[in-house]
Amino acid sequence: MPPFVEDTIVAISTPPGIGGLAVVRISGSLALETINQYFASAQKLKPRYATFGKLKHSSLSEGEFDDCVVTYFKGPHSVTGEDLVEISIHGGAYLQQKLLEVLLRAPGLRAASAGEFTFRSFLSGRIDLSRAEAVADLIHAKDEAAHKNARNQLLGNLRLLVDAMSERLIHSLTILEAELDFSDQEIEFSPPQDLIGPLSEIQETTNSLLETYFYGRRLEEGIRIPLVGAPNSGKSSLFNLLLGEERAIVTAQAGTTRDTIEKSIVIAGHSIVLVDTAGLRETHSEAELSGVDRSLDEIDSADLVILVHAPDTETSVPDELIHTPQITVYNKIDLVSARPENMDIYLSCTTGEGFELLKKRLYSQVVNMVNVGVGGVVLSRERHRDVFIRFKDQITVCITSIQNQLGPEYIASDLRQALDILGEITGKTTPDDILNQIFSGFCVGK
Amino acid sequence: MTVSRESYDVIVIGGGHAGIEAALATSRLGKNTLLITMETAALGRASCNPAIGGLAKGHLVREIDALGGEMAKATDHTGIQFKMLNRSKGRAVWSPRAQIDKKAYSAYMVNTCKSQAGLEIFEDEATAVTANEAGSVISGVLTRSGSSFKCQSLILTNGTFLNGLIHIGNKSFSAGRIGESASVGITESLIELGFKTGRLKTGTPPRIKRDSIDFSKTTIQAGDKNPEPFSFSTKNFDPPNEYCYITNTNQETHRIINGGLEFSPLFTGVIQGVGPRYCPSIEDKVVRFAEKTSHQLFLEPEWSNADQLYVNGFSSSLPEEVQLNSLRTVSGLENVEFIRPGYAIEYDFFPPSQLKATMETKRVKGLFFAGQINGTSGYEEAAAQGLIAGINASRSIDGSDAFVLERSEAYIGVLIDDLITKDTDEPYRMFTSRAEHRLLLRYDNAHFRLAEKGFKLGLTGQTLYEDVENQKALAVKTEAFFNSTYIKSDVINAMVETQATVKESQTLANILKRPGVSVEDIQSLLPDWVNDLSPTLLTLIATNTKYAGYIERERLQVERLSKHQQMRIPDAVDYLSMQAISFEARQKLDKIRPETIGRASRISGVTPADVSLLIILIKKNVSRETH
Ligand SMILES: Cc1cc2nc3c(=O)[nH]c(=O)nc-3n(C[C@H](O)[C@H](O)[C@H](O)COP(=O)(O)OP(=O)(O)OC[C@H]3O[C@@H](n4cnc5c(N)ncnc54)[C@H](O)[C@@H]3O)c2cc1C
Ligand SMILES: Nc1nc2c(ncn2[C@@H]2O[C@H](COP(=O)(O)OP(=O)(O)OP(=O)(O)O)[C@@H](O)[C@H]2O)c(=O)[nH]1
Ligand SMILES: [Mg+2]
Repeated sequence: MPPFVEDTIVAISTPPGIGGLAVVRISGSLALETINQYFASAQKLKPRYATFGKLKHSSLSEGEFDDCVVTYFKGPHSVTGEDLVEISIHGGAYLQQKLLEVLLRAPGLRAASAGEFTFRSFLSGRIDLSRAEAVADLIHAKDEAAHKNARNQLLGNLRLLVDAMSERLIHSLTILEAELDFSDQEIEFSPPQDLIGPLSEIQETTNSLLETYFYGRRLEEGIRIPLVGAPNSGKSSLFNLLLGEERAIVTAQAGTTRDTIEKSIVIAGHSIVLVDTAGLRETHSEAELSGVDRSLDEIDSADLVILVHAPDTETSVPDELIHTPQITVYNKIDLVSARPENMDIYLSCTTGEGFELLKKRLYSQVVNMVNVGVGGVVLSRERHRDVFIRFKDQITVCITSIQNQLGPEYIASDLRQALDILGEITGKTTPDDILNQIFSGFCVGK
Repeated sequence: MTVSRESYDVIVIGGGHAGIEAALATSRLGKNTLLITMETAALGRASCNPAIGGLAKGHLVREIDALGGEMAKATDHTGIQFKMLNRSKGRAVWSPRAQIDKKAYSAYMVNTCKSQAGLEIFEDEATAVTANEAGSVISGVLTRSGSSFKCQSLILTNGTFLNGLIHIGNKSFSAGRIGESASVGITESLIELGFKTGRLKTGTPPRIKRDSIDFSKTTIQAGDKNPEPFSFSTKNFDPPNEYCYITNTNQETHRIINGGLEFSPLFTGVIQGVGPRYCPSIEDKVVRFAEKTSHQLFLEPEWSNADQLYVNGFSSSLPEEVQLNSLRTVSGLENVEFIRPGYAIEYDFFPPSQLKATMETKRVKGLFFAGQINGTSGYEEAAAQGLIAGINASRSIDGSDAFVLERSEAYIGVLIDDLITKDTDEPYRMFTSRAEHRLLLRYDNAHFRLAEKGFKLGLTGQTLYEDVENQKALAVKTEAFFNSTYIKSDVINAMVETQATVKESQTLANILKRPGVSVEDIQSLLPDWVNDLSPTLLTLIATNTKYAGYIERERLQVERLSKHQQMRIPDAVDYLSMQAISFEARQKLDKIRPETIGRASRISGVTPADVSLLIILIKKNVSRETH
């Protein structure tokens, strides 16, 4: 975290449990300047005042962030002791994430690392000493998690990949550094142009890695699987069955579930968010109507849908479902002897028949979804993505410098910069790492 | 030799490259100084190769000059061949190197020291350091001849002499370097004071007779035609340009060396000390890089018109006859005769994590270490440390604050910071790759960076300082001119045909920034007052302009380094009880006991998270204490 306490950092800082409202905070010397580029309001931002307005920018769709509130705290009168901006927006995880991504593209901003806001508060004396230990725990816990937490197999793979990338970069750098520090010796040095190939490969890997991000996000937050179907088809019954507890209310009356209920379970080692939804049908009840709207939203953001049919209900498949992977379930088979064709699973929530098959089916579907990415690596943290975007840009700079035939010391400086960026994930590369490579690879010394 | 008193402000032990700079600095800063050394005539003797400077080392020499040291001047006076290394690359990594006349170099240093006011030289061997009863404050030294001296600051610069042990084949004997006796007693008295010590090794090649060489079978290597001096104060520089000669080993040479390995103290395990990987012996090279069929050798004269040459590249501790027989397979050396064989030497050093950035020991107040005793190798590394130790020994007597150069200010800063925060067990040598702010630390701007500091310290002369300031002002003016003077596009397009054409007029700076364009290419666009600047200054300015983007980026990085870098860590902090910090980091921190957060963060195995926690815990403890 240090040495760069002077950077401007940004993070989602919504306290858990407050749905609907999200707060994104920017802290540091560039905070005000940055928000002024995005925030349109009748009033100017004033310290310690909440100002209403909308976020407007070429990278944001029209109307996406129409009503938001920005509060500006001028340093040192803020929790971090620095200039601080809080942006409150309405909307769920998707919008928060979108805003964060957009802000991270602003020049000079970077994603905060674990505990960094709190750390700054501490440094500026804004939180008292009794909380210092708590901060310590936080930093410590996150750091440990990065290395140890078994659930984070994804992070472990990421480290391996990044290590491999830095190794290749160090190798390139070694060639340049050896030429700079040992040019008085009879060693054949390959020309910097030879580095363009390996660098382009690294860049391609980075591109592929960046493409996994959206997906990785979902893995991190949990793969969303809503149960969708006509009222009374047995969605809530199946939801409870999958959870192994009576979480949702089940009645014989159609339209029982009005609001969505979600709950996390683990399948194949991955976190899954199961969502019970209101049955889809034409309705005039206002409460039920908004429930139906939410169900359609859920389908929109689903990774996989379980579509529940039943003999005693009529299911109209909504348009939203066309592009979403789905498992079709024909429920209540205990009631009938004839089964329609083209269903994936035939099930009875009452007798349990077909449930094992459904579980198997879910398992393999999840495993297939997860087995994408680069060498088993999926980017799932915004901070990591931020690192890789800057890294990719820096590799472009390296390649341009080589093409412009700059001296090896300047190309080396560009490469070191790239390594420093990667080092935000794996730890810093030291001059000794490079010298060790030189000594083991070249016969130097007189 | 007699001395005038029993008590001195400063005593320096050892008249090597470190000791000389230390003693000159303290006496020039007005401290009564006694330099105790075994042999006055050996002052500034070059134990190994007859050369000063080279990659990264040349930077150190320039910095020493900017801070008022002596090494650069001595080199300019006694050099017999000068060469700028890395000339085909950018300025940041150019590095000057000189072949010196070893005898003249030493004589120059003897003369300089003898004529230095406030400096007395005493020829004797120091055998023990003395301290107060608690062992916490230095009090003086005892010598072989039975003298005892008191001092406020003591600077130890014993080089390779502490319990030195020379190896040639299976023979080994006590010596400080060939022909000089080892120093016995100092190590033991330091261990008694609680210091940790270790053993290192280095080696040197044979010296051969000029008239036994057939030069017609070698390649002549001359220096630069218009060399640049090391020192800013050297004017009308017109040094000799004597030849060195290049030849090569071959497979037959390697066969003989391989056959002699069973008598090599390196390979039989007789030598315990760790040697430098960047100065491998020939037997090391032959074994580790078996696929190489030939290694380059440089034959370097040890002094002007010397009858004695140094075989650079052939350092060895093999038995004399193996050295001789293998060397006789080399083209031009078929009938070579030795003046003396190569040898290896093992010696005591004191791991420099026991030092503060001032070169004062953490354990004993007033006691300073500089040079090879700190596990470095090289004349330049030694001289740089000697200078800093001398400056701080003097300032600590005055009660002035410490003089510490940052990593972003000088190679000397990198050198000392590395020494005290790294815990390596290999002899340390300077490389440009060790400097993360390499593009800022150029050899040509050493005086721009440091002369003012040297002047304020009282070491750098007024004339040199004013010269530097004038040049600085000229540089600023010229750079501004480059940035504000526009040239029409048709003029530019007509000039550089290989470049993409431009549509609008451009500043001179932007023209210079285009790939492949140098200041020589645009001379016709420059007014006389710019073209009349000295070529050295003009190139410096052009470099600043051309690479402004890079320089700015490094400057920003330095600025971004947090203020917490400077945050001091209390001496008594108890790392082992800091449970929140990882076990490995706690142990490292406890061992090295860094003085600042910046240094803590550079210790290997200490993660950024550990550093954050350290800041928290320290702030917490400090405020508890003040309650
Ligand atoms: C065999 C050999 C090979 C080397 N090879 C290389 C190499 O390949 N590359 C490289 O960069 N460097 C090499 N060096 C190292 C280089 O010579 C040293 O790094 C440099 O000289 C160190 O300077 P110094 O001032 O610390 O000590 P030195 O130059 O060793 O000077 C020490 C001085 O202290 C005096 N002294 C010591 N103890 C006492 C005492 N108790 N009382 C009084 N006077 C004392 C000695 O007489 C001597 O004058 C080699 C040195 C040797 C001996
Ligand atoms: N016989 C039989 N009845 C079932 C089965 N699954 C669910 N039911 C019954 O069907 C009725 C509706 O079940 P729910 O789980 O509430 O259905 P829902 O799809 O959540 O309904 P809404 O929330 O109203 O949309 C309840 O009376 C259940 O007991 C089944 O497999 N067999
Ligand atoms: Mg329901």
